Amino acid sequence: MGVEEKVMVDSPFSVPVSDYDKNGNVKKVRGYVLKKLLKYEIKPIFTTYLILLVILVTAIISTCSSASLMKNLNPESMGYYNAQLSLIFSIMLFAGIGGTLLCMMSIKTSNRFKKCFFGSHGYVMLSVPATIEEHLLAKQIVSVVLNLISTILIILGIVLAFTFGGGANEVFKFADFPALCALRKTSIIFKWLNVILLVVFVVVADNTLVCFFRNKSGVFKALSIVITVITLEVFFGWFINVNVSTNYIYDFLSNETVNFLTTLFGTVFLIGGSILGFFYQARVLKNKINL
Amino acid sequence: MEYILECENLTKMYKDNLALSNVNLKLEDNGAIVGLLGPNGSGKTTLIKLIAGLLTPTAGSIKILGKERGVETKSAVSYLSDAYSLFNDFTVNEQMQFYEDFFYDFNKPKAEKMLIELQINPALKIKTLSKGTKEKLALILTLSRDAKLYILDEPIAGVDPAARDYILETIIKMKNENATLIISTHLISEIENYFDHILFIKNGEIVLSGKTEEIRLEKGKSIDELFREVFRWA
Repeated sequence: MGVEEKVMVDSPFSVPVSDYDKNGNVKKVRGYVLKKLLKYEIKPIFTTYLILLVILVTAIISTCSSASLMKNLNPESMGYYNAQLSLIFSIMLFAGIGGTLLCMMSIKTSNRFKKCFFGSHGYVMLSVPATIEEHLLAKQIVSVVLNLISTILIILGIVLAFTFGGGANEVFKFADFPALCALRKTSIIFKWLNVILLVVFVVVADNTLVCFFRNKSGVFKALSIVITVITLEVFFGWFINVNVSTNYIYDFLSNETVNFLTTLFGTVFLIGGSILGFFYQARVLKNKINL
Repeated sequence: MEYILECENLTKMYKDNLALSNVNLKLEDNGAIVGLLGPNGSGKTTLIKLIAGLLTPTAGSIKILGKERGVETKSAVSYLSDAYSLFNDFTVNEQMQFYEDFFYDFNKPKAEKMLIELQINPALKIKTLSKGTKEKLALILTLSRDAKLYILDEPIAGVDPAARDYILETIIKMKNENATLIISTHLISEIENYFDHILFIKNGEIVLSGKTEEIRLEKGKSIDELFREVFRWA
């Protein structure tokens, strides 16, 4: 019998019949509740997100088209470095658009988080039979997935623009971007894993800020932007290996040691920070809500 | 004897502000209509939110049908807040679907029948409805659950006097026969005849609790008159 099927059983805590085990005791079917929470998490932001995606894809297409056009211009009449600078400028413009969209998405999801737990929707949301952890998990999963798709599209856009622009290897050399070349290296899985961890961290950090500054919405919005921008910088530094501080450390330690230490420290920081942030949110929501 | 609600030494503090102080309360599971009465700031809404599972007590415990408050007890309680809480971007139908998805005891045909009676178009977006219609919709959704305990926080406060009787009759008609109903209100004279049991709450403490008829006979006053006496400004 399906979970969705409603059966009125002789119990004050009426639950679907599939929630009972063989002995007639209620068993936990928390996955069902989580699935429904995810559904109502996606539904209100889906249209906005779709619009942002369309803008992002349009930006990718136009950046690739302009990069391709520049490639076909006569480099001799334009000057080699002028052509390369134009390419880099258009890619930076694209990265700027992508970053802005990520910030907008971040504010949208933070606002929704606040409304659901500290605003008017809290009366309905918090009276549904779900645990605080399930509520938080649903919000965080949806935000991570949506932000991850956007981040992957931004990376893809940059790689495609370089590819269409031609002379990618020259640009990588010029800008000291060994990292995009790292796409071809074996460490790429680890890099992508770090991207996922980074997105998880940003999402959790944003929502933790909402809990911390729940009575000052302006503060969490501003900090949300700052965190997204800093993370983008860190992300590109990490992914592309042009982080200023790590370059400085290279003077003292070997490349391998620095790479190992920064990756280890970064990974532990991201995982630890995300877990701490999640528990902080749960603690606030369990004890500090004042609807 | 089974109790629908048991509060033991229930205390709630908001920072340094004591909202509820050592509330001890037991309500029998007998399908009674309970009036929770008190002036503004007396702790009515805090008590209701604690029972509904929206707030965590600072101290003490709450049991619903013998179970400690938690996910399971939320499924037995149907709660209507005093604040507007529906999702503006949803249609009436979508909001009904939300209730159906999360509350297994949601009785959709009952809700649809009420929507027809109150002439609410289920295809309309909630943000396009008038304030009064939104309140009626929230009430319909709350009462359409076949719950064991209904808690209504100021259900008729925002409704015009002409519609109050209809709403009150609807509340009584729609609730489960065996379900207990707790209603918090200031508008005592209009509703006191429906109460089987009353609770007076003052400064976070229950100062009077008993069967309505017994209190009327004992005090020789209506509940409204008694309320004015107990809570008059000294």
